[in-house]
Amino acid sequence: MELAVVARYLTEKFGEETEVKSCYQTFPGMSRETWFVFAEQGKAAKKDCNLVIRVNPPSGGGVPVPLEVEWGVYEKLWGSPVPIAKPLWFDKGIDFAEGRAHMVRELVDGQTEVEGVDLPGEEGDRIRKHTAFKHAERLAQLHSLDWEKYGLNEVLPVPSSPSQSMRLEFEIWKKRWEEGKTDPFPIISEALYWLEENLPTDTKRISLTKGNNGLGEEIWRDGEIVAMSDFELAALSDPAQDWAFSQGMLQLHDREETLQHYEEHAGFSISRPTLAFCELWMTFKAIVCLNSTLEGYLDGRDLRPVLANMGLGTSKRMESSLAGVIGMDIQEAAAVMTGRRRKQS
Amino acid sequence: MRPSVKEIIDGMSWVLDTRVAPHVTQKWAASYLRSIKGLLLHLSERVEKEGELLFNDNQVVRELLKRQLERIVDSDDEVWVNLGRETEEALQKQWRKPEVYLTVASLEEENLCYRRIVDSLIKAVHENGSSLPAGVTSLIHEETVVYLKEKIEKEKDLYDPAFSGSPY
Repeated sequence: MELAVVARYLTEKFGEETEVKSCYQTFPGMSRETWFVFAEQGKAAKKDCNLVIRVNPPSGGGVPVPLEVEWGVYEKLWGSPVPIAKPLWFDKGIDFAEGRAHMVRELVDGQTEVEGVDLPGEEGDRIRKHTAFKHAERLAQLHSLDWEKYGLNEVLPVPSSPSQSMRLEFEIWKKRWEEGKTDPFPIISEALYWLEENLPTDTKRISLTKGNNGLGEEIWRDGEIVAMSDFELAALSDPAQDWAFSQGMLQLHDREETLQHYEEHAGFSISRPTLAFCELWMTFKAIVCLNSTLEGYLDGRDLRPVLANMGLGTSKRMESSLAGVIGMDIQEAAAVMTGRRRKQS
Repeated sequence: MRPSVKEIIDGMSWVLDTRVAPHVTQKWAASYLRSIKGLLLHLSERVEKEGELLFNDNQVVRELLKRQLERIVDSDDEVWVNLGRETEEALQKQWRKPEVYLTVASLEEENLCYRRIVDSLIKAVHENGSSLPAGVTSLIHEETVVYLKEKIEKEKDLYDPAFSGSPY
């Protein structure tokens, strides 16, 4: 994004002269483009105006969920106890960003990485435990939120009952897959029937789930999560889903201790068999997301090689992993899959 | 012709690794390079194996579909009747003239048609399996899943290790 273009857009939006000092795209931002904008406003007494612009990639995005839905989640969450960046506006179909859908939020001071989390020895262990526990506390806060009070049911589909949470999730994602896949994947069809046969029905409460969460996804400052960030895969569903998509958080410290810490803060427990199911389910969802990136590549809208790499290569490898566990007991299959993931990473 | 396509791809891959990557410090550029590296490794395998894999798979899947067609041909359930017709048409279709060179594109076109039918077969087994005689459904299911797993295993080298690193 050119500084002058961004400055003109912000000046028009704020109705106040805005000078953009710097603007850069954060890495890797595969699902959406995330741009940090550092600007100043006013003529004499200038004040900082630091923002994040989240834009759909030219191909439409690496998640088959409209940016407008993510914006809706932000809008509803603002003012709730869950810490997020202040959402400012959403727009699409205008001159800015070639008409692509985008949302603007304030920039929260902090980092997505936690310093020292890779350190060896006792100091590293201490930081990893602290990080896992702090993350667990934030997830507990999110999952125990009264989502109806904050109107999340107006932007996200609501399961008819807690026991139907995973059924609704299954139907939504199966539809996305069938509508968007770029090739027939018969073994994925087979996997879907197997997963459907094993759909958990023991969900005790419907929670607002974030989708991808954990290290690299939230904003940390001084050892605390100061903002939960990017709700592109948010849903009203079983809270186990977030633990299954927590980017290695359950491997950071002792898995059971971390879950127990979460449960103490949440006031309810996570079904371990449902968590195992969700770990397999996430592989399917990842394939849906990865494959969806190919659409824009194949029609020439977005020719970045990473899209071919993820859409073909990574999804084929995941397909192979999933094929290897079809028919197994769900908990055994999840253990095999997570073991494989660790080996691959 | 020498160097072969594979040799050229491998040469490009080598130079990117040894002469380009060490000098690329900008993270977006380094990321594109990693993506390209994975794709080149994939192409290096694919360029010499894709045609043979498709050719062989077309033979194997045709035999599979012939066996399943015999099992479903007497069904009067609409789903099986339609699937039987589609399978028969695909098996009888002359995909290319006998004297014409077997291009990858032509083999892929044929294979794509079979993949669609196999996908429908899997769905029909689960959705309409009860309308077939006892034992037949499980036989179709078992043979088809075994075929699919074997196919994934045969194609493994196209994706692993090419895509085992970070995609970005």
